[in-house]
This record gives sequence, structure tokens and C-alpha cells, in this order.
Amino acid sequence: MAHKSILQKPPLEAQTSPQFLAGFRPHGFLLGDGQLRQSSIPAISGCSYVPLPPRYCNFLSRGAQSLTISISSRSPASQVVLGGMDCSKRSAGAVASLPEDPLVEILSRVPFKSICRFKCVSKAWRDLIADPLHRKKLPQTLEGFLLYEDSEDCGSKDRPRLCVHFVDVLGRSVRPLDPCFSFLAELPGNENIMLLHYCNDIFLFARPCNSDTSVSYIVCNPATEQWVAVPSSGRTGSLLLAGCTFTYLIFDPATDSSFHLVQFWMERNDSSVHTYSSKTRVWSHKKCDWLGHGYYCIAPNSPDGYVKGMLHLILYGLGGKDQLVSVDVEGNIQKNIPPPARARTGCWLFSDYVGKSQGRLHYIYHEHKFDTGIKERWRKELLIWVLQDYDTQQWVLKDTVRFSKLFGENEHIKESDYNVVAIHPDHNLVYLIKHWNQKLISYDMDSKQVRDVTDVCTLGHGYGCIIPYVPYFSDLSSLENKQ
Amino acid sequence: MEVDKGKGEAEETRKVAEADRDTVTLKSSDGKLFEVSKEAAARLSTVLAGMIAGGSIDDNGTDLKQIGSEALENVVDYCNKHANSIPSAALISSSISFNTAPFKEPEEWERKFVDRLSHDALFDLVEAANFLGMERLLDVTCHKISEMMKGKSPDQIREVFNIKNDYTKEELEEIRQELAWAFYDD
Repeated sequence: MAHKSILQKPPLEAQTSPQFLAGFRPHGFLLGDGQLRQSSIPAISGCSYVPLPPRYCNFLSRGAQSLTISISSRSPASQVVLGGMDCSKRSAGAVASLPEDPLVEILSRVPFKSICRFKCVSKAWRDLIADPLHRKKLPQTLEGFLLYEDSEDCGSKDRPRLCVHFVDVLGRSVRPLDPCFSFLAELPGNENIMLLHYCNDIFLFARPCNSDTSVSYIVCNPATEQWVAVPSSGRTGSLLLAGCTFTYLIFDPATDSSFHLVQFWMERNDSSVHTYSSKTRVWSHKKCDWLGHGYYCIAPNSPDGYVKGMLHLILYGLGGKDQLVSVDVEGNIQKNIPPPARARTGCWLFSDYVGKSQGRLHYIYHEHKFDTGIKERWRKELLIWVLQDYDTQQWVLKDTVRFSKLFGENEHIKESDYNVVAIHPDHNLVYLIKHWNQKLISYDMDSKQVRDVTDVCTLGHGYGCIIPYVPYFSDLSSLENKQ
Repeated sequence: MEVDKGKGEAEETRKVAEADRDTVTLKSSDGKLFEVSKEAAARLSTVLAGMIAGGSIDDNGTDLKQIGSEALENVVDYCNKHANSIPSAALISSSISFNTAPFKEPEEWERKFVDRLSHDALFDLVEAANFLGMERLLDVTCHKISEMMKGKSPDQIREVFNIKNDYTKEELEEIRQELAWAFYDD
């Protein structure tokens, strides 16, 4: 057998660290008073978004074939399915039954949990809601988190490399998906696939070659089990995972079913950007003049800040403020968005997360301030901002929560002790992982409640990264189950 | 808006007049005639736009056998009100690129328009809007009904939609248990 690819067995340190999947933060940075601060924040991919399925799916074809479709939706069959009684026999005070199309249209505006409750209304409603055709149109929500293991025995015969647990945040007993991605991992050549990134519920895997150091990719929709192979960008396995490569998947269901990959190769003086489009199916390569100049590094914790057709990345600044930039599918910076900040002095600011919730970009950071109170100590707070108006770059402070509230009266919490994992796509909920006891917690901005979601350690193994899961049920023509 | 069309009208005269007319006549399932501006009909209804473009508009009143007179009256009323309201950017964008534009909240007049309707009339209007391919009206009416559904229990939904519970006691118990998580508050 040929020599083992480094991807198959990364150095122990890298294996056990969540950083190896999502890049790392090479230096400290600072804000406020000008001192450099060392930090090595374990990076966990985290975030999510959940697009409402395109509400107009059922309208798309209507323009062209309006008459036929409208009439067919009125067929007696669909009328019977939904109505408890025949329209013509409607008694005074009784209300109409509705044809299937409008009812799905109405349900598409109702929150996910309500829709699930409405399965109890009648068998017809249960079937309507469960119908895969309608599922595409009905809202989906954060169903849980995929926890990727990074343990030693992963990759052995009995344990596939891709060891994943699913933590259901809805409290259901039935798993909504196969967390081991057997449909992918069991295919020849896919034994060592690993998750690199996700965007709008579509996942990007790296697929290390078994015979040399090259790496190709797989883009896949776990909800429909559709996938497509993407050729190598030319980056070898060791460099792909070494923290100097940042790979992003860009997919926007509101635009079309195509996807893009943007990969940054960070070198000291010669950074480059490599882009792939599912339309052209080729990689293009060019120099990247902004990476490595002024801003040293892309932060790993901006996994799904995909808003307004742009990828949003936090750039760690050296000796200055962090920056938020919007990057297009060609890898060019389109906009420099000044991150929000309170007008305060003597505060350290640390970027935690950028992601999308309720259609808007959110930015989470924490502040350290030396509190000269009764007991001198650092006061640490998590600040959650929302970009209320994208065009005018108007940030609004949505909530502030003290570390003591989040983590208890542990004053020694460092930024390396926790990670913001995700912000709920539909609610004012932030998910965090506490590294010291491996607990996934949620913080509700409305009720100010902190809740334990799960004990990760009870799953028996460490985690490599934590991915929020929202199913996306539409078929995508760009994913055609092709090698 | 109901119009009384004189039967004695000469065929020729009417045909000439029809070609230049800027309104179309629609006939409800119960035979009542309504007149609506051709421009508004074509702009707000993909089905009527197709019929106007395809020349399949009947001078005597285009038969809309699926739509009762009360619903059709509301459709025509909506078209007229829409024509009279200042078209906002929101409405323009939602009618032009409806496949990508996010749903725009109903405007004040649209809210009032659906609020005054009885449940029956509202449901009939949804059906009419669906049949005629009136995206915006469908948006506004569906939005209204979805608001009515919010926070309602399955029992209350059955009442609003007049649906018979066809689960047996055991079946209902089973599905309730399966969906227990959906009954907890967030």
C-alpha cells in the first residue's frame, strides 16, 4: 500500500484539536489599548442558516402554465384531501376547505413547530405536511447539531473516519438523517472524507486520495442525499489542513441551484485565491492581493455568513481592529463593513462569530473590561449585534450578556474556553460550547435564559467540530450523484 | 361594479367597442357580470393576462365557473383598490420578480381589505386568487390566514377550517406522543 496520506492521519495534536478542520488563529490581536494578546481559540465551524424554502416554488411554473396548474390544483382529489367537508355543502357558519396549493402556501408562513403540531389536525393534514413535495415549500428550522469526532479509533474498520453524532434540539427520538453519511462514506474512495464547510444547509467534504496527497471534494445535501464530486484545486492534503488554507462553499437557494467554492491559499508573500463554479466545472486561480497584507488571517469562525449574495468573513487585524469583509464568488472583497463597537475605551474586543439569523447578518464578540469595583477583576461580556440595514451598514446592539451569566461565576474563563457555535436561524438563540466540560448550551436573548442542550462528553468521544443542521429538501440540479 | 349589459346591443357595434375597450368583463359561476380594468387584470392576474394576450376573453363576459359572485366581487374590488393605491416599490418588485423577492408585508389598505372579510369570504378569495394566478392577492390572503393560525391548537384549527378529526383515539394518542416535542414551548 502506498504511503499514508497525511489526511488519513493528521498529527495527533491536529487530530485532537478542532482547529484542524476549520483553520486556526495564529496570533493574538487586540483592540483598544494597543497590546498584543496571545490567543489560540479552538475553532469550531458553527453557524447556520435556514432559508425558508423558496416560497414561490409553486408559483415558478405558474406564470407559464398558469391556467393548467391553477385548474389542476382545483381538482376534486385535492379538495377532498384537505377539506373536512364538501364546499358545496358548506353550512352557515362553517368555513371553507381549501385546495392543496393555497393551504401549503398558508402553512409555509406558519412557524415550523406549529406545522408539526398541525399534523394532529387530521390524517389529510398529516399526509399533506409530510408529503416530500410540500416539505420543500414548508419552513424548516434548526433540528440539531452534527458533532464530528476526532478520536483515534475513527477510521478503523469498525468506525468509519466520519464519526458523527446527531444532537436533536427539538427533543425528538427519531433521527432526521443518517449522521454518518453512509450514502457517501460507503462509496469507494470516500473512506476518509471529512467535513470542510457548509452553506445554507449544503455541506462540503474534502476527499483525500488514497494513493497520493491530492484532495478532491464532494458537495452534498444531507437531506436529499444528493451529491456531486468536485476535482482537486491543486492544494495537497497537508496544506489543506495546515491552517493556511481556507475553503468556503457558497450556495444560495434563492438564486439558483449552482454552487461555488472559494479557496484561499495563504502564503507569506504570495497569497492566492482559487475558485470553482458548478456551472463551468473548472477551477480558476489568481493572486489574492488583500490576504496577508494588513490583515493577517481569515477567522475560522465565520462559517456561514452568507448574506446578500456575499460571503462574510472576519479578518483578524494585526495591531488594529478586526474587519468584516464581504467577498464575492470570485474571491474579491466587495465591501468593507466596519464591525460594530460600543464607544468605550479600555476594552478588549474579541470576535467570536459572524453568521445569519432571521435573514440578517449577526456579529458576536466579547469585551473584556477591567472592573475596578469592590473586587477588582475583568468583567467579560458577550455582545450580539445585528446588521439592521445592510446598505447603510447600521449595526444594532441586540443583546449583552455577562460571562458570569453564561458560564457561572468562573472568572477565569478565557476565549479559548468556549466557542459560539451557532445562532438560531429563526430565533434569538445563541449556541455555545464550553470546552472545559464539553457542554453545549443555549442562550435565549428574549427570556435571558441559559440552558444546557447536551453533554457532549456523554457521547463518549471528543468532537472535531459542531455543525448546525437544517434540512433543505429541494432537489438541486447541480448535485447529480456523479463522481 | 356589477354591470347590466343590454341584450339588444348590436353584435357589430359591440365587437368594435370591445377591441378598444380598456376593461374586461368577467362572469361568476352564478352568472353575474363584473367589469375590471384590462390593465389591472393583466398586471395582477397571470391567468387573465394570458387570456387577454391570447384573445380568449369573451365579450359577453368571460366565464369563471370556479368563482362565485361574492369572491369575484372581492377580486374586482381588490383590482380597483390596487389600481388606485400608489404603487409602492414593494409592490412593484413583488409583482415583477415574484420568484426571488421576499414576501412584502401587506400594506395598510390590503390589511383592511382582508380584515373586513368573513372567514368564508376570505377562504373563497384565496381560492379565487389561486385560480386566477393573482400572486399578490394570494400573498395577502394567505398571510391573513396564517396569522389566524398562529398559536392555535389542533382543536382550534379543526374548528377554523371546519375539519373533521378522522383519527381514532388511539391513533391520536400515538401521534401526540410522537410529536410531544412540538407541544413544548420554545
